[in-house]
Amino acid sequence: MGEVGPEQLLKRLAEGEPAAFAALFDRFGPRLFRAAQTLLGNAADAEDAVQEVFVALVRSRSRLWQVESLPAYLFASLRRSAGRIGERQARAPRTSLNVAGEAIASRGESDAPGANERAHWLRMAVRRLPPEQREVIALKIDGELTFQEMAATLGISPHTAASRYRYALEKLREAARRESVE
Amino acid sequence: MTHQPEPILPPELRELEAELRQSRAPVGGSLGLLVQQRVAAELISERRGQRQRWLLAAAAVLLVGLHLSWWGAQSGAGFWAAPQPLHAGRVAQLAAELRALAPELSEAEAVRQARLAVLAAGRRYEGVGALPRPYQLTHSLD
Repeated sequence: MGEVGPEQLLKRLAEGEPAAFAALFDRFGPRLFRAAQTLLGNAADAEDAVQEVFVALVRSRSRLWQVESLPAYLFASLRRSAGRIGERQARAPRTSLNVAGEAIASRGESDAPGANERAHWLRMAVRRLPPEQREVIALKIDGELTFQEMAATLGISPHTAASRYRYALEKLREAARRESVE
Repeated sequence: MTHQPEPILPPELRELEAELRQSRAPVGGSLGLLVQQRVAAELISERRGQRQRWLLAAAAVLLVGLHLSWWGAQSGAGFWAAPQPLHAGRVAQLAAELRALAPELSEAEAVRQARLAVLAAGRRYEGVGALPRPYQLTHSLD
């Protein structure tokens, strides 16, 4: 399927056309996955979260005509899925595997420290941010959303989204500065 | 949605932003396939469920028709002389028979389908828990 406009894509999704879901994944799948990985801290849970988003989309497709911004709708859905998975993570007993997963990152990143220590450090630093700040980094950097779309996703004003993002970046820069001093 | 210009960050934060973009994790190749499979499975199960609900509704209507004929025959005047309205006991009997046909059906759903079938046969149901309006022959998809 070639590049179709959001309205046409929504129409095809509402009709339950499998090719439309594939097109949607091509467009948003990698962005959703990366954002989920930043939110949840590992690839397996991130994959589950993305799958949940698409299953929810199939189930609620009759209401898609009400959607104003498809990216905001998808990322809001991802946020809910990640929240549910995060709650399950919190309830699960902390095995050595969980702890290792948090510390070493996950599939696709396991060789990161050797390959690019700085990049690995940055991802770890993002994970140490408070949830609200980690969320805006996930939406902006990984999800490639505009502040307008972030605002719609989070239910806040674009101004607040931008300030929160800037604050998160400043916090990361400060952590990087401390790291280089140590 | 109206678009506003994105705020401009100071150069040192823009640099950090670029670094963060470069540090993004790669996406596993199997995810697209997994998503496609889940979507296809969901669409199939939804269609199957819808078909099953229509079949159940049809079975319920058929049962009501049979019962009305039988009750009518008992009174000697045929289908149209069957009790009008139907009382809760008879609807419960229909629901039980419907559950015997489809054991996976919950009791509440069987009663609901039986009441709907009574309505579809042009009868009135008198009992507790009247149906909400507008009447729906099947579940909502949620």
